[in-house]
Amino acid sequence: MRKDIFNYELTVTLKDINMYGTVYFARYFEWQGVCRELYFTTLENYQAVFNDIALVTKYAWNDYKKQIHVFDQILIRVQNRNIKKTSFEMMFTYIDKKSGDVVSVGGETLIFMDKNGIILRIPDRITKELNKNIYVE
Amino acid sequence: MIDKDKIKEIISLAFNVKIEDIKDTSNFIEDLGADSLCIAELIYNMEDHFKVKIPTEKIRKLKTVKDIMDYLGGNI
Repeated sequence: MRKDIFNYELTVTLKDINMYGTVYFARYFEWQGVCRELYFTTLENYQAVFNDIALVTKYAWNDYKKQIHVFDQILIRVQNRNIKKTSFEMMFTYIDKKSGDVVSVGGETLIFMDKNGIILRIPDRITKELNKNIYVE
Repeated sequence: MIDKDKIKEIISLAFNVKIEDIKDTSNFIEDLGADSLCIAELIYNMEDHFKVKIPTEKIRKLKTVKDIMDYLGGNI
């Protein structure tokens, strides 16, 4: 059974930083991709939902608030907002586990498409699950 | 008789534009700035409100507010 708030934890490692110790900006989007996949695997029978339809990113952003460093432990909270018939926004709140500070906030507008590129309604059971986990700042 | 005001209200919400900016002749993309996602949202909202199914092949031909009004006028 999925918890109503989905969290993903990671540790920043050397592969995530450049020669100045700064985390690559694109790494956040990779982490969001992982979060997104794992979030949906917590739904019952998720494979049946994604058998014939694809989840597509329409828009993605990230607001980098504080620098993070190698070996920092980060918790990413995954929540949803702006849930419509054809799209929703998945929100990612990055929290430094040691200080409790929010170090970044990101979002992705996601849609479902069939194999012919037709934008589909979000399946009812997915909408129901998304609404259990609404973004709170 | 279709409710034109309701149609414009649904368009306004789907495209995030002011109702007063929506004319019967407005083209969804060129005049109202809609993209494919906005149009899909519009179609599904129209289907739900007016209890009608709009076939995929027909959706591609609906380009203006008048197109939607004419289609709904002939199918509800």
